[in-house]
This record gives sequence, C-alpha cells and structure tokens, in this order.
Amino acid sequence: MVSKRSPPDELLKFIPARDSPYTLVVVYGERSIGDFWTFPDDGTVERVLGAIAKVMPNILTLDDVKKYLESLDKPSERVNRALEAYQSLVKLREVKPGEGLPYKYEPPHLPGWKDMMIGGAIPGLKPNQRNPYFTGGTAKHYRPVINFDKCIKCSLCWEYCPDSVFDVTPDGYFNPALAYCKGCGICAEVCPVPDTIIMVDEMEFEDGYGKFIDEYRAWKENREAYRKWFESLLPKAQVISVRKR
Amino acid sequence: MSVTALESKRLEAVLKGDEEVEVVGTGTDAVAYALMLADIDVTSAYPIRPYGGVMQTVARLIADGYMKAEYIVAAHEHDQFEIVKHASAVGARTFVGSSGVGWLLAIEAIVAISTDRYPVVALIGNRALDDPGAYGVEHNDALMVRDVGWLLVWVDTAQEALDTTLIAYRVAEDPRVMLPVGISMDGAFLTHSEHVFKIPPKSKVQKFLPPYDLGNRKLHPSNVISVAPQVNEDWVTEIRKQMDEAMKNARKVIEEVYRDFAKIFGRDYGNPFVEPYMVEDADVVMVGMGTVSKPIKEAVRRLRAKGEKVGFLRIRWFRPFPTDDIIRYLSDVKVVAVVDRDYSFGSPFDGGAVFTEIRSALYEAEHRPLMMNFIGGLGGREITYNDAINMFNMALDAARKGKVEQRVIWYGVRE
Amino acid sequence: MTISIKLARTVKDLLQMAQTEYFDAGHRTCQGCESAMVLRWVAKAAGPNTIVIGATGCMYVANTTYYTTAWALPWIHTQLSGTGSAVVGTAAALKALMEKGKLPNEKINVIGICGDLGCADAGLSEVSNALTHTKYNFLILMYDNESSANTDIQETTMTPYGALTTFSPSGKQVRIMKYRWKKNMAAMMAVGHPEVRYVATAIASDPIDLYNKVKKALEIGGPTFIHTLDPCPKGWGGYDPQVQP
Ligand code: SF4
Ligand code: SF4
Repeated sequence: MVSKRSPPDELLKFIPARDSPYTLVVVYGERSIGDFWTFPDDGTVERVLGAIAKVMPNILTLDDVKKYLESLDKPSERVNRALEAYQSLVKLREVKPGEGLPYKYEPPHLPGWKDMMIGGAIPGLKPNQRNPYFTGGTAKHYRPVINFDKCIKCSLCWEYCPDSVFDVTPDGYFNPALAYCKGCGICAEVCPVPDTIIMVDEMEFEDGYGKFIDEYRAWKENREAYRKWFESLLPKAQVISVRKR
Repeated sequence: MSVTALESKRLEAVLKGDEEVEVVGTGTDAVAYALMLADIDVTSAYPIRPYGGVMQTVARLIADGYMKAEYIVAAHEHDQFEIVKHASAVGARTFVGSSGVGWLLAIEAIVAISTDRYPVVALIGNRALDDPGAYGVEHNDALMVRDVGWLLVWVDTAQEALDTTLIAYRVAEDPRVMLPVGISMDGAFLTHSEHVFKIPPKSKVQKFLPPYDLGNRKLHPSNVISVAPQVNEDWVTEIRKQMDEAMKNARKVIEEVYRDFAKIFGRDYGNPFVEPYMVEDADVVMVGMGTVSKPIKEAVRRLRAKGEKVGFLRIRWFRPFPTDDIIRYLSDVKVVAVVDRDYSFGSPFDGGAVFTEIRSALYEAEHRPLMMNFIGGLGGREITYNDAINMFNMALDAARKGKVEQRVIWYGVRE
Repeated sequence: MTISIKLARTVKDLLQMAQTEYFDAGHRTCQGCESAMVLRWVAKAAGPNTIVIGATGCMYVANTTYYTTAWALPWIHTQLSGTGSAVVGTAAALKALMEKGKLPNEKINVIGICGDLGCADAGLSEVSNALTHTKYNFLILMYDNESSANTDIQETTMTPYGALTTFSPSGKQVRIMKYRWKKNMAAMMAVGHPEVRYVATAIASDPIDLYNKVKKALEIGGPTFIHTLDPCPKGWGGYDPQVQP
C-alpha cells in the first residue's frame, strides 16, 4: 500500500518485479517523511485506514474504522478523511509476476565471525572516498538538476551540502553525485543565480537505484541537448524560494 | 606521604637489579608495585574504599618518579572506566579499579570495555552493595559482570595479587583473548592487611610481559578504522560469538601464561584455575573464593589431624569457569560444601552464585556429590576458624547420613 | 591571543583550503541534516591527523552503520555520557605514549562529539571534569539540536521553553509541558572552568566561521569547547531545511 499522488501504472516503473502476484493499492496523498518519525497529524493514517477498509474489509470494516476514529479528538475531520479514501482516493491494480522494474536484488554476502575484525572495528574510508556500501540517495523525493551554463562557480552548493554530494570538476564546476543526494534542496536554496539549481520530482526520471545520470558529463558531451532537457524540466521544478522568482 | 628511604632502596633494587626483594605491604600495595613493573601508561582514579589504597600507592610511586604514567582523577567511576577504555584504544596499557557501588556505577563503560575488546586490567576491592552503605566484603560487585566478557579472578594473598596482576596483563593482551581482566580482592581482609611479599625485578617482568600491541585495531591517524559503529541484527550474533571464542581461548592461554610465569619467576602456582588443598581421598570438600581460604585451611589441617577426611578447593578463575577442574576435584567426594560470600536471590536453589555454577558444572560428571551451600561472611562479617569447623561438622554429618537435610544454610544469621 | 594559522576569509578560501572530505557522503542522516554539515566542516578543519570520538546520539546512530562508515578519520564510539572521559583518555594516552617513545611525537587532534543530551545532560560532569585537565589537548563539540532527536524528539535541558516534544506535548489540562529554560552551555563552560582555553558558539550556516573556530580551538590546544546550534529537519516541526536560519 503506497501513499502517493501518482497512478499505479506510473509507480510500477519504479517497483521491482516480483515472482508472485500481488495487489498494488495507491492511496492518494502527499509525501510525508514525518509519519515514520514524529507522526504529524496530517491525515495519512486516517486515509490508510479508509483504504484498508475498502481493500480488505475482512480485516477492518468501515464501521470499525469509524468507531475508532470517533473515539479520538476532532472525530468528524478524521472520519471524513477515512471516508474520502474509502470512496474515491483508492486505486487498485493487480500486478502479475514479472511486472515492474527488472531489478534483481542480490542479497549481500556477509562475512562470518572469523573474517570480521574483533571489537566491532571496521576499516575506515580514504579521504574523499564516499561510503561504498551505503549511499542513501534513494531517500530523495526531489533531485537537483544543474544548469551549468548559468553557474558562476561560486561554490556555495558545494559548501552547504550536508551529504558531501558535489564533486569539484577540473574546470571548477560542481557535479552532484546523485546516488548520495538525499534531495534536501539546500543547494538550490543557496545558489545565488535563479533557476540554476532546480529541484525536480524524482518521478520525472527513470534512472535511479544507483544508476543516476552524471549531469556534468551529459552537459559536457552535448550542451545543446542538455539545455533542452533542462528547459523541459524547468516548468516542473519545485518553487524553492519566492524571493528569487 | 612520600616513599620512605627503606622502600626507596628496595624499589631501586627491583627497577635496576636482577633480584627479587622482600617487602611488607598491603594487598593493594602489591598491585601498585606490579603496575610499576608492568609500566602502565594511563590510569584513572576515583576514591572509594577498599580499592582506593592502590591508587594512593600508585600516586606516590609516580610522584617520586618510580613509575611514569598519566594519572587522571576522574569525575566518577563511569568517567574513570571510559577514560581507560579510550586510552586502551589508542594503545596505552591501562589500569583502573573500584569497589561495590562504584563498580556498578561504571557498569555501562565496563561492558563497553569488553565488547570493544580492550585488555584493561581492573582491581575490584570487593565490597557490599548499597543500601545501606557498608564497607565490608561481599563478592556480588564483581559477579555482576560474570556474563559480559570479563575474565574474573580472585586472589587471597598480597603475593598472589602482585603475580596475578602481571599474569592478567599477559593473558588479557594475548591476541587470542583481548578481553579485560577483573582482579578481585576481599575488602579489608586483603586490601588493608599487611603481608610479606616479594617484588620481582623489572628485568624479569620485561621478559615475561611483551609490549601491548593492538595490531590493526590501534586507533591512530596512520590506521584509519571506525570502532563500534551502530550495528544491527545482521552482525551482533557474530560479534558475540567472537567473544565466546576468546573466552574459551583464555583457558588455554591462562595455562600457558602460568607455566611461563613459573619458568621466569620461579614461583609455581600449580593448577592456575583452582588451588586444591588436601583434597586427595577427601569425603568432604569445602569450596570458596578469596581470603575465606585462611580459616578453612586451618580447619582442614586440624580435622585431618583428627583423622577426618576433609579438604578445601579455592577457586581462582571464576571466568573462564574451571569446569574440568571442578569435575576432577569434586565429582568423587561425598559432600561438596560451597561457601558463598555472595547471594543470588531466586536462583535455582536459592543459593549463592558460586554454588549454582558448581552445581551446573557437576551435572555432566559421572559421579555427582551431595551439595551444601553456606551463605556467609556477608558485608564483611568474619568467617572464623570456629565457623569453618562448624561448617565442616555439618557437612561431615551429611556425608555420614548420605543425605543433605538443608541445602542452603545462611550461616550465622540471627533468628 | 594571536593565532598564527591561516584562517578562511571567503568561501573561495574554503574551497582552496578545505577541499578534502574526511567525513564523507554515505551516512544515514535525514534530508538536510545540519549536524551532518557541522561534522563535515569540523572534519575538514581538523584534517587527517585527528582522532574523532562520537558519543551515542543521532550523529552516532545516523553516521555509522556497522560494516560501513562515513569517516576517513580514525573514529570510535563512546557511551552517551562518555565524551569528556573519552577525550581525556585518548589525549592522555597519546601524551604518555609519545613521552615514552612508544608513538612518534606529532600533533594529533582529539575531537569528542556529543549531542545536547550527551553533553549538557547525561555527560555534563564528565565534560566539566575534562575541561579542567589542562595537560591534555582536545576539543569537545556539542551539536545542539535542542532535543533527543535520535530517540524521537524528547525534551532535554537544551530544549527551549514551551517547545512541543514527545515528552512535552501540549494538552487540554497542561498547556506548557516544557516549562524549563534552556541552559547556557557556552557561558557555563567558559565561566565555570578557569583553565578552559577556548569556548565558542557556531552554526553551520556560516561555514567560514565554524571552520575558523574549529581551527583556532585545535591550534590553541588544551581543553576547548564549541557549541553549535543545529536545526533538525526531523524534530523542529515546520522547519524546512531549504530555508537556512
Ligand atoms: S539536494 Fe541536498 S543532499 Fe542533494 S545535493 Fe543538494 S544539498 Fe546535497
Ligand atoms: S551554487 Fe549555483 S552558481 Fe554557485 S557553484 Fe553551485 S551551481 Fe554554480
């Protein structure tokens, strides 16, 4: 069950294929990283409960959901959200085996106790070596796309990225290693030239899973094509700051 | 406060010469001299009786230039143990210690020392736990860490304390072990009583104790490692298994090290794990740890003179537990009577910790003796020669009847 | 006090002086985590001859995941309240080993990193004790996100008055559960410890200042202390990492 604004077919481009059939349920909703951390009261839970009632009434009926939500504060507001989901916001899609992103998950081979250093010690990194075993880049909802034509090489994006994402290129540009970018948008905010770093919904791209494109290389290889691509993304970019527009 | 002229002459002799020197001192003094000989690099002090005497002697030895080490007065015991843990991580040989509630306050750091596999050596001047506050000996403080990867040893003379300290560093720092050692010493009875003992010359100690080498785990800019990152369930079992293996290795290493000790210093402890005293052909064997050995041995001698077949087994190493020796010495006797200077409320037979462990060890034995448990000497109450005779008489009675009427006896408790 | 080291004046200086990453990408911090930015700049300022000690806290849990690491510096964990002890133990060991010729004599920076809970609450007595040890050279860095962020945003003594946390919600009967005022750590450390050699406050949105202060502290030597204020995207409700303070 996914809480998302995209239709199921679009999502399937990103969901790895499985060996067994399953039902994909999409509950229309906003992105929310808060729900697994600090639980903002944004209606996600109510909508998910409504969706469960719709899809699996044998587990939870709409009456059960209502009864529970009515016991909380702001009961009518909560029940309405559940009803919304129940009545209109749920999309179902039966997924056949093999449907989805062709992506093979190889479980990593973990060393045994005789091969591990004792005392919980592990080898460290070399300077400028990013962690090869953990990237974190799949956390992002938005991706920075850079218009190198407008970049004035001020280096602020490099300075402010909390995830050390930018590589300094020989000619002084800053190229994001997207596999490590968490999509916080700080670089776009600090960039002093309007529309030079834009944050674009990750759903616009079909790369990913560590196969992110190399923006700087793409620009170097074909500036004209890169410019066109960038301009096509510009209208879809998230509005970062009113100040600049 | 400073080192006396006589002491100074003796210390010069052991530091420069090749002969051992006889001195009079307390159990904690003996440990301090061992630290001087082991050339420890960092130690951290916090006052609590009865362990604290060792730090006063060490401070004196540093102040007068007989040893060179960073001496850090900590904010409390948790601070103290974290300090030595991190000093050990950088490659410094360290010493630390505490007693009773102080040891317990540090328990978080104490566990991290063993799970991070740093060969810290600690002195535990055994002391009853609060509340109410008490100075006297009880073994529950040290026993609190019996499951978390600390090697635990109990000594009963100042000489043994000195020798065991040197042995402890050698065992702990062995690459096959790399676990901390806690040396337990009965509060007051040993920490504060004067003994005659011999200080070996430093030249021999250097032959016995190689420099501390952490190998590829030394935390230094030339060896970039990350130590103890947050770990998930994919790894914890393996990390604990490594400790299990190290603890099992320790049995072998302890034997080797005692053999080497005897060769270099000429003092042979025989069986390193337990000290058997007149156990051959005995019908009744009393078992205990620490200074309780003194009155019990005296009782054994007198009862033997009267023709009673009694003996005593003193456990030195409690972790790793000497299962084979327990079976060897105890499985064929009629009655085993364990004196516990500790308690383990709600344990399988409501007995003490040592009793419960011995009982468990003997389960695999071909012959299983009858077992009795005396909980006694708590909070520093003395177990006298007469008490030992009384206990033996009860055990002999059970041996004659072939039956134990009361399994656990709170010896001397006022009704 | 005059400092002979070169300090950064502009962002371009930073790019020249501190391009090498020693706390690199591939850690589990949240999107836009400002504490990660603090660590990145502290590591850059300290350089390769440094030992880093990290106390339990979100910068422990998030930055190091066993068998992988984000550190190109020797790094070790200490318990929640252990930072003061660990820096003293490490610095003392280095001093002893160098004086005895067991380690080559060189300057090695020792930096202990702790959160507000580990520093101002649990570890206060250790930190205070450490700051009296003038024989040893080390820096204690408190990254203050004004809460126990790792464990779900609970209040600490560094949480501001009136703040909502999972331990201080606002209710129907008790409106203000966090009724205590924030401690002033930098002042307390400076005033209470006559021999502390350097105390500063910093914030990662001014990396030049943060970089220079870490450089200064390490150059001056002795016991030093820096308090950084770190906005926490997960805990500071409504805080958007794209909008820098
Ligand atoms: S979006 Fe955030 S993580 Fe990604 S490159 Fe920009 S600053 Fe770095
Ligand atoms: S912040 Fe913007 S202008 Fe400055 S270097 Fe980065 S992309 Fe170029």
